[in-house]
Amino acid sequence: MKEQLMEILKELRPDVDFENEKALVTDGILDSFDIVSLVGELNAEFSISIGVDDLEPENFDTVEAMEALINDLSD
Amino acid sequence: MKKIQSIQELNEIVTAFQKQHKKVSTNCYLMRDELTRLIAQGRLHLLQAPGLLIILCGRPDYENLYYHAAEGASLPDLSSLAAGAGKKGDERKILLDVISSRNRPAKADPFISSMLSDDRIARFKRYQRMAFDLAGEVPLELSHGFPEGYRLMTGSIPYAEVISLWKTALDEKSTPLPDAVQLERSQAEGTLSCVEDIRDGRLCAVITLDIQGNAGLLQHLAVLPQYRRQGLASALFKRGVSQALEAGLKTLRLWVDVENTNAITLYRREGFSPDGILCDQYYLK
Repeated sequence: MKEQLMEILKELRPDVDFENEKALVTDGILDSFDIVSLVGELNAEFSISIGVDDLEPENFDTVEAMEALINDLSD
Repeated sequence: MKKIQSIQELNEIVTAFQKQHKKVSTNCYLMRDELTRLIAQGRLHLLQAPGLLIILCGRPDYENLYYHAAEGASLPDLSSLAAGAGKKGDERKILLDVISSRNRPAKADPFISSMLSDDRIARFKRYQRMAFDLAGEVPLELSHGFPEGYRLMTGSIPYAEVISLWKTALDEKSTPLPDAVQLERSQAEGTLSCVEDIRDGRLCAVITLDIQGNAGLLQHLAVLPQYRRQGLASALFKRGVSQALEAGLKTLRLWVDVENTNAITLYRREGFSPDGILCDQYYLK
């Protein structure tokens, strides 16, 4: 699943070092426009439904946090 | 049309809607802190129609349209929507932003597709986002001296004059203008830069740098028509980049109309390049 996620992220923003950035949203590297593109992709790719309550910076600040969110919503 | 009072209320409505309908598409991915701010400012209104939740977000000069749509949903009567969005008797423009990635085109959203084939909706413009590589090599020549005869305006900057300049020089649909409070804050923070004509003190050019976290957004760059082609835009732009560097920002971005080749040429010359995010803007007739 991580490979799929990384593929989406790298295609979305090839300029970002997703492996090493630990505050993607908090630091403003991803903004609300990136989140719009990203969440739509994650919902479609992983058949999940990311809700209003899930749209918190801590769920998108790192690749690991995104993985955890996808896992939670897939259960 | 109902004013949204809290995130909890919105969350309950959206969750119930998602449970009721199998496939729901949406463009409403506002982060929690932004939602909180918009709700506190009384800017979010909700309209429920069969298979559809419409959320209108009030901006100073127009409304942004967000939706949660079940399969087969179609837009309700737009005239009531437009009238309901503004004050009594005041029809406001409603805009729909469709965000996409140049590198990873989104799968077709059936609700968007249905709206785009609706003759009540007109295409407006396509914007691309451009970013400056603040971590990369910084151009040696980053001074922001202004052309002879012009200087940076200091002291109190009159809000009405700045707004009047923006309304003359900018496209209001694409550039939400800050209100008086935001402008005052920008001035206090030093992120509003204005250039004046030394001869008569007239305001001729403006730029703002909006800082969120470690990211900056350069916007509202505007030069009055009679002061163009003298290097004011370029000088203001360099000032914005210098401010971002001095503030230690990690990211600096801007949005530009893809057809505005003069602006794109300027931005490229100053070290910006497209980062792949696009915004197609539509408006309801």
